[in-house]
Amino acid sequence: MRILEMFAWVALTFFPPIISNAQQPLVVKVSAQNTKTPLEGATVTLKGTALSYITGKDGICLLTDLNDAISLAITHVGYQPKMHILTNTLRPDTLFIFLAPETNVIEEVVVSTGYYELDKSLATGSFDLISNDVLNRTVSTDIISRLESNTTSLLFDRRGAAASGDSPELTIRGLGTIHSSSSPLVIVDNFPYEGDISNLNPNDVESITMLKDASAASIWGARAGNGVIVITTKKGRYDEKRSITFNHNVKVYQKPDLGYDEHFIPSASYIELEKTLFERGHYTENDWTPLSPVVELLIANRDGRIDDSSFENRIHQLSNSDIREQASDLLYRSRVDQQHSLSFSGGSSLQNYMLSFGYDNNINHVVGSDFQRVTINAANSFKFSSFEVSTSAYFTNSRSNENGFGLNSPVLRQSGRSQPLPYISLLDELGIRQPITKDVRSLYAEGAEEIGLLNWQFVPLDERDLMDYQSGTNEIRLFLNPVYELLQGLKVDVKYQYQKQGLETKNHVSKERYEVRSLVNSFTQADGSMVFPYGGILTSRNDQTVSHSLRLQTNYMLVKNNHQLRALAGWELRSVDRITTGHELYDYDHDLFTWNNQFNFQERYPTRPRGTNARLPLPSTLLSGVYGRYVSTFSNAIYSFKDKYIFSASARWDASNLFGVKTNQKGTPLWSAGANWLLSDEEFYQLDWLQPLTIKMSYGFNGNTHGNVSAAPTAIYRTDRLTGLRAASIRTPGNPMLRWEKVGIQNFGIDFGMFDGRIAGTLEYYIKDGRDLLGNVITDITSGWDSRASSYLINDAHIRTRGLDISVSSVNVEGPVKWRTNVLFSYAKDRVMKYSNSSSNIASFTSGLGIPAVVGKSRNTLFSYPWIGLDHTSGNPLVVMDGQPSDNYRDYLNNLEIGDLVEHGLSLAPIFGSIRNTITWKNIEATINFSWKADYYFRKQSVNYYNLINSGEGHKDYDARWIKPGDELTTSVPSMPEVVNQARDNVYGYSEALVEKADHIRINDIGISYSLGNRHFGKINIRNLRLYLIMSNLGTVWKSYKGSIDPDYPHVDFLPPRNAAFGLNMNF
Amino acid sequence: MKRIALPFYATVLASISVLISSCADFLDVKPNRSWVVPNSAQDFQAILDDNTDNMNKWRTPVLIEVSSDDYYLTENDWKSIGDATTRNTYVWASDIFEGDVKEGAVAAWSHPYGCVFRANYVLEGIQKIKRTPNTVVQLNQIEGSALFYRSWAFHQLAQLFCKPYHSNTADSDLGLPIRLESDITLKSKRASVQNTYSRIIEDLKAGARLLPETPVVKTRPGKSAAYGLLARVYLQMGDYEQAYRYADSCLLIQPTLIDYNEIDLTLNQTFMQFNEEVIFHSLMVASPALMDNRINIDSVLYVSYAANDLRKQAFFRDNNGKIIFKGSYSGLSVNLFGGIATDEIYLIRAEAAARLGLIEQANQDLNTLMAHRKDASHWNAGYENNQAKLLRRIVDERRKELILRGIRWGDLRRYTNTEFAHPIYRKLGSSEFQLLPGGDGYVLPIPHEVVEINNLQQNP
Repeated sequence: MRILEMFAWVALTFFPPIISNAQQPLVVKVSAQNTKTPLEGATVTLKGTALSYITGKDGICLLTDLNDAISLAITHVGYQPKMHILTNTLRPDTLFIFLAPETNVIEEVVVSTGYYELDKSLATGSFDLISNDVLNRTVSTDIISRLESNTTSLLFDRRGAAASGDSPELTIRGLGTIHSSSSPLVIVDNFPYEGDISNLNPNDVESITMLKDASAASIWGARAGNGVIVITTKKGRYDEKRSITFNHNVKVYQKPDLGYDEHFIPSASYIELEKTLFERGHYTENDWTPLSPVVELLIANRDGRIDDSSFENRIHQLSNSDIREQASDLLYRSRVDQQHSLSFSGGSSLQNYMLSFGYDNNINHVVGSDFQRVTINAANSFKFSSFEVSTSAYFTNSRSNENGFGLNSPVLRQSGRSQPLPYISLLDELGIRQPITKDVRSLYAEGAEEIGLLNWQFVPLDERDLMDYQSGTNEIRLFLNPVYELLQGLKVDVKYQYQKQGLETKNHVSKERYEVRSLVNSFTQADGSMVFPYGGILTSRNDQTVSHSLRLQTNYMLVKNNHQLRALAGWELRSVDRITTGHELYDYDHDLFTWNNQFNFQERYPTRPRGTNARLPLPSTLLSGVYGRYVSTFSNAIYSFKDKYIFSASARWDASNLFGVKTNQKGTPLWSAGANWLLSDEEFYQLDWLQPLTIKMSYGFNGNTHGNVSAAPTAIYRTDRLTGLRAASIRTPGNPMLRWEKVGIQNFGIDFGMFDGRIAGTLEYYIKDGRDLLGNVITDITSGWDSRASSYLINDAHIRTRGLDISVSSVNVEGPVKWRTNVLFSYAKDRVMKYSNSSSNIASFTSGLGIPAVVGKSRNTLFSYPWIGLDHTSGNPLVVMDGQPSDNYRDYLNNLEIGDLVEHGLSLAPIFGSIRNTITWKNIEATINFSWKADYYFRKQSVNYYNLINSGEGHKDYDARWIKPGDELTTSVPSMPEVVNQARDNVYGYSEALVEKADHIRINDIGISYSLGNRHFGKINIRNLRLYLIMSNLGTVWKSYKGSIDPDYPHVDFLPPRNAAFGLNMNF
Repeated sequence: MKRIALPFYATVLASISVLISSCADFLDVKPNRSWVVPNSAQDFQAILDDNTDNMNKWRTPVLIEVSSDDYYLTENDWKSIGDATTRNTYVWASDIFEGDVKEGAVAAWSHPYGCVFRANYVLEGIQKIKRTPNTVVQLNQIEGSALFYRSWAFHQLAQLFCKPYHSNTADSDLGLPIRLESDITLKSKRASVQNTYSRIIEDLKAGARLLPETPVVKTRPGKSAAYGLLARVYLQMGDYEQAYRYADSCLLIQPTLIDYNEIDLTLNQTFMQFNEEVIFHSLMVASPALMDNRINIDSVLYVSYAANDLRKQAFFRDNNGKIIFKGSYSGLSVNLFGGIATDEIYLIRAEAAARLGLIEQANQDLNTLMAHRKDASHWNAGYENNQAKLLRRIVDERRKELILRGIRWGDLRRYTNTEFAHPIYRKLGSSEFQLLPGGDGYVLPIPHEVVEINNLQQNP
């Protein structure tokens, strides 16, 4: 039903243009160069006048007012534009114009799998190409975010994001696994990319291909189960003129809106709550338990240290203070991202080159946090008769400072709390920086210096001035690719890549910082001697990933009469080593580079203020090595007959060291097969309006790996702190039956064109079966292995995802004003088919992002407790037990079965897509991209009294709670309980009362660009000068839920702020 | 063309064959340098030495103290405990788990069985290692340790989840599932109490034969620890002859006592870990009920110390009007000591001697211990002729000596049906709870999931 609606909607957005004009002298007939068929809708513009004509169905238009015209410009979507100079002397009656097809229209797309490049018309599998134009529509520091809403079946899941900058989880075509990673494999050029993909400069990317089914991806074998994203970088081209491209843009964000996060209780209400708890005797009074300013005031007032009126004054003052206001002023700013890139490319018939430089400079939202990146990319190719060598080198250096903190950072929290108190101030009225309570009673902290200790106060803004936290990445990627054409059509292709990515972080905590002062103070002995060194602390960490990849491949191509065969076979070896080292230096002097780690770490010293004995914290040191070894052989063949019938087959065998067992169990063979039938080329095919039409089908298997399982029991070594002996803990109990996960995919597709290419699209239906999946078996804890603490996985599960991908592009209006639309639609829904030991833990079905695997349900089902409202007299949430309302939550939850829960639907959108409209008029192009997600639900958060009282986690719903009888008619927020009871909080917090429909439509971005064409500035000739402006994060235009939460960002601290990027692009 | 092609083919083929033949080695690289598939004596010893959690804090479940009577909680403090299992255990509720299926809730069951699994895994693993004159010492030590750890875990579990040992009903009373294999897919069945205790004793005796007299570190067992535990188990079983024998053997190896006259009693933690009295070091996981900010030492117990008794200062301190414990042999306030120390063994030998009528020996042991506990300037050795009075004195000193050591609960259980039995009470606001000697509260319920998966008979 919903799909039909979508179709109707899509159809309505198209209305074919009827703009035509015809009078006298010159007849122009426009035809396609390759097929010689007449082109309808070609625009013939008379240069020097404002006139233009559109060709009719026969490809003909009649030009009347030719008086002043010097030349004609002929354009048609999908074809290269052509100029024709009119000479007054020799003017034919009919002018025949042939337009050559453009190379990047959908029918002519070249996709890349990382092993071979393929004309998309030959592809039997499911490929999605995201062209350079689409990638350059938006502006970002990284490349992956540019894919959002620009491709089918790729979903960005932000349910788990806690901060607006957190990276989303990516999935292609839903789930194919239960416990292994569901992220797609990312390939850069030819090999899997190891490390942080955000290092890649988007300006260096030529195009991206997504491999979605078995036929497309099975060449990647055991790692292709979640789909593959193949990123192709820019290269020089043979026989191309030297060109210099410059791109510059600035992206300016709005300041974050801290009011978005609902976990906040207004100061006045919070103070009332603290008073109530104080009266209940909730607070422990001693030197070491930190107490909030209000509780301190209450104690002072009780003990007669301050009188009632100044107490009331102070409380009044605090009631009117809101940390969010000061935080917004002092801790946040508008983010500004700058990007510059400059590239040189060109080539002769024997050699080509590409050299590019990129520089990014981002000033982040949080004051004190910024990012810079420099990238250099150099690629060269040489040809000597049948020998060709390509080389490339890619270098990245990035650096970021994180010397600030936001509202949700632990910096502003009293210890043991999960949120800052709502009424604390960073500055007082006079602008003096204020301390906040941290680990010890503020009274004690204030008096520390009097008893001979160091200052024990924590002043957040002073701390920020002293912060010195840097991280940097260095990456180098070298690539060598000799190709030798052995015989006609037979090539031997050797590829080698070396990649090294180093991530270094350094945190220098100077001796003035609270962290040092607090440690020194707590270890200061009764005689005043300092046991902990009063000096700086330097913590550093270095992660280094080095990979070598070597591939030997032979390619064979044969074209004879009606037959075309392309085949390849090869062998590949890869190693990926990742070494992490880290250390911490005490008594560190930044100016002299001296340190001292020689202290007595065994002795227990009495510590302040509590007096408990403790050892000095050991400086942390880190050393770990993770090693991946992969060997594969692969082959692929595509046979085409008359360009009408196409068959493909692919096979791959993988082995790796991941299982850590006998070699014969390490390997796995995976294969796929597919076929294409260009139906519209058949004699009997008569539908002229629906052409071309290709039917395709494929079936095969991809694999998936889980890095943490092992057939034999394995243990992990470390040094035992207590005894200094070597200790080993068992990490897996072993599973002799362990196998790789296999994902079988059936794909059925139609590629179609309509109305002479005015509409083109692809429709695909697939069934994805994850078999032999690892499933967690609930162990008997008596066995000594608690599967809740450390999972016990065996290959016993099966999950099936069915889905539909549709992408349609159309030219709606052709003429002086051009209007194109691209519609993307995806549907994917998973269902667990087999899972032998489903959890019966009812809580795990309501809390958490997904649910435990249960046969017949999607992993993303959203369940909640039934809700019947609040009790009239107590404001307690009511539950139904034995048909009666009750507040015996404990027994209720104990006896609840999964069938008693309310099943809402999915928590992750099964249906999503986007519509991009592009309107071009003269030199101006405007685009707007809408995206939508439908048929899913999200759970709002609300007040949780246990968390509120124990860790200070608030929620604005607190003010809407039940207070007096009758309130239950207007609110579903339970009353504040006498005794906190987590079961009571859960019965409400995970109830249906807080579940909302999440469907929404948002404007992803609006862009406008202006091409100034070719300009001359003195001697410099600038080609394709283009100015552009793009606005993004514009928010929802419609959503089902009427509150302020954006269903895609249910838990973030603030929504990604709106931004506008302005840029300029030019060629020399 | 051919001239180039041939050598080229040859090179490619040669390199492929070289690479494929080295493939096996290439794939044998461990995915993580610190991972091993344990197969050497060293690996198995390292598994037993995994003290961080698995083999140290796991073996002695802290519920054994939570349910005991050395302390009390105020109603507010009790309410402020987040963990339902702890709250319910404090009041000896019949269902302590409340359907809480978090990992921590059932730790009293899962943690000791985690040690049993590791011990079994090690016992199986070392069978595959060849015994040579070079390895036999180490292998014996590993085997002895694994047997000891497994017995330790079974004994702790038996004190929580089985009825106390009574020789006349032990054959019919439900004991523990005795797991002797590491295969985690095997089902569990409950043995009898008799079989449970027989297994513990048999393994301890076998272990004692294999262990060195004293270990390199006190987290490992030596003969002393095995004898100490045997003495403790026999005392609980009422076999005083054996208890006497093993306590005596234990003290022959390690007789040292700390003289409280010679230590600084004003420290906030009086004792160090691995101190001279410690025979076997073992911690308990931290319990929210026993934290310094909640715990109050039982007031009757606190006032029972005489003025010349140094233990009062060594064990307790006043924290804003609240008496808290600072005398753990763990050297920590958070994790209590749950191991074996010489003071306990002296008390076992004294009690067993008294019960066996060895009055002289009993007096001597009691005096030895007291000489190290009482203010030397205000104390003289005593002598008690009356067997019953002597026993009472020993039991009283036992009460005052072994505070929060994981021993009191076992004593309360074994005193059932004796002159030392008495009910224990909890008070929360206006509600009162009482646990009568031999009451159902002395046997905790087995976690629901275990009962369901294995179809076990639940405790009453």
